Amino acid sequence: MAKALEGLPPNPSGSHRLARATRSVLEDARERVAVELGVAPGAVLFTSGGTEACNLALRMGSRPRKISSIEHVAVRDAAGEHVELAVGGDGVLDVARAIEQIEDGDLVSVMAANNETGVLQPLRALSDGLGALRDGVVLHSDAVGSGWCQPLAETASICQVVSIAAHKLGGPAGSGAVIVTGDVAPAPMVVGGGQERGLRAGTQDVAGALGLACALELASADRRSGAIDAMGERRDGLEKLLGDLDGVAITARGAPRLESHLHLTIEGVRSDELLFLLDEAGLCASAGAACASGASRPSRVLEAMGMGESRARGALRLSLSPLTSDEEIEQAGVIIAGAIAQLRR
Amino acid sequence: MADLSTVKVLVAMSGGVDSSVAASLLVDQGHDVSGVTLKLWGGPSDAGCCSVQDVLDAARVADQLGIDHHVFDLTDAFDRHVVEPFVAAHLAGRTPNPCVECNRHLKFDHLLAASRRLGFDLLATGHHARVVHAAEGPELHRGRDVAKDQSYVLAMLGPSQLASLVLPVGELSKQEVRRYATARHLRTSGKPDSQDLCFIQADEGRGGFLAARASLTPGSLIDAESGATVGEVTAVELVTVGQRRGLGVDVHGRRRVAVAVSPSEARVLVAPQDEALVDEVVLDEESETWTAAPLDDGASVLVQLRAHGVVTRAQLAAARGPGRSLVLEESIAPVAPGQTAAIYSAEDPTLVLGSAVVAHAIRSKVTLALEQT
Repeated sequence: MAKALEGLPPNPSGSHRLARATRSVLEDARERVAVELGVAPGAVLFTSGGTEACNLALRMGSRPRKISSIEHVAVRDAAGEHVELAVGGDGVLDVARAIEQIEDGDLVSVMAANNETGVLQPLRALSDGLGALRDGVVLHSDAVGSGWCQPLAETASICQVVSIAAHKLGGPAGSGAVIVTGDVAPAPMVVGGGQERGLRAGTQDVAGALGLACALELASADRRSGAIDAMGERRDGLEKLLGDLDGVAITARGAPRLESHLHLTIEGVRSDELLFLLDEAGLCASAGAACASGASRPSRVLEAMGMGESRARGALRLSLSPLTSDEEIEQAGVIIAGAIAQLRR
Repeated sequence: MADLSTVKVLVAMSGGVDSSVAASLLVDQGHDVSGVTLKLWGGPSDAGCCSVQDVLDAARVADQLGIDHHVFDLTDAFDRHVVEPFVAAHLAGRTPNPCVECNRHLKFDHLLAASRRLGFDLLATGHHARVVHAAEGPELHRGRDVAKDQSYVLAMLGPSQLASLVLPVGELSKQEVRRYATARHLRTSGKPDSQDLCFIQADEGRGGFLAARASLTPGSLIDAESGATVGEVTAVELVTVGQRRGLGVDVHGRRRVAVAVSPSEARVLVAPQDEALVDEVVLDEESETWTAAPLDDGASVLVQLRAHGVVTRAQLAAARGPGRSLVLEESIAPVAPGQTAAIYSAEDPTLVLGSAVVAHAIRSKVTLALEQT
């Protein structure tokens, strides 16, 4: 990123040759993102990350909002008044019920994969199931959490609007995009200089945009090379190991999930205490969605899946990367089992 | 006490200056220190959404000290042990002390137990009070800074809790605490002291908080001697026994004070202040706690009935009904049911002996006509 911008001014807007050179880096990034998503370059609007992308995506005038009950808080809060589309106990959207609820003119938001459980959502089945209604509905998918494991071009081929973020792909934080195809357009969120089709004014973060493009390409390479499949096998190994422990339940075990995610609940253990011990042992994990204070709060996602609060209080969310090694998986198993034993003593 | 250089200490860091300095002092002393901030209240607060700023301040101080910092979400336990009883007590005409209940159930029960599970030897807080390890066992004393002393809200601690407790700032004055924090460039050095209940916003107040959770009862102010109605209140539950504000004066120009609050009867009994003084405090049965061995009837003690209230000499005695009483040597203004009585030693006025929750206070010499109804 630094190399591509060496000697160039930060601002891509301007008529002189140096500004044009910076703009060329930005537009190169836009084209590369567009290739990864299988859309036209004009469909790619750079944002400051996933939350901003989701906020922009949901600015669709007076269309009634119907969102899944497991959406990220960015979508839920940006949606304002909305109707929830339920998920089953396995964390998968209940497509049949959703189709009954969705009406012509709705803005529907269903994430590509849940950020806590990793459960993949049946976007294709939902889109197909809408039948004739499909044309009158705007379908948005928050794909922020799924990009490493899942081809985003598939998501973009189903949904008119898709939100993505670089940091979930190993890229820089503070860079994302909303992909808008078809004849829909969100209302401008930030006004001023008319950048990003006038929908998101302000000098673009060229380095961030380039980082997003690189991250998407590297994620695709990981999928092609089999690194993602290998990660899934390691996840399955850890899942087997932990799932055999007394009082441990793997969340959404039977559902299709991202290869990077392992979510479990542990009876008789509080997440915050478990995380304390895991952190002390050098294992970085989380319990659900952390709020700004860093406190792990009882998860709305687990609640939406019908899980009781006491079980949800013992949630543990582990994320793998393609770089996670067999040794690390083995160590993680030992550390987690030891911490659970200590807390139950 | 164990050799502190080899023990692990968990410091409860609120994001205020006292607990920041407590953590820093323990680090200075070479202990193995970790910080934890409790997220207690899940609703809106004046400190921002879930007190994010306080948590960030605590985390930043921990960073500066080079210690680990974690956040524990105890909102469920806080609701159960502090907020719900707070609401229920007001509906029953009592005035609870939520800070004492938070210390009792959250900090020195839940958190202390968690610290032991996590392998810590000691728990530290930033309270202005002192734990003195005497030959007979740990003692709880008032903080050196009389104006900031917080022993009142710790008076419910028992011997096993005190044995695991460190209160590093109890030896310092507030001025010394701030000077220390400033010298160390701790972010919290200039933060104002917290004044109000952490779960109630200034603009809604106690009334708004309760009104959002229960329907409040409009009622009458009744003269306790004559039975005459002398005024109205919009919510009986918001009147506290001992309150003078808003209750007016009698025909002789004497200020009225609330002597009994009864939401179920939609009334508040009032009396002129000089006729309302109480000289016996009846304690809730089974609410007594002792820092060492329980005291017997007849024991002479000092009692304090408000966080920064006056101290009165008293004798422990069997009450006329169930439970025990503190018979006061001199009469004092009415005391609200639900408040904490902190009990100190008559021989050593800084030494905390125990605590109890006030059931009600009575006057042995005069009985107002309506009090018996």
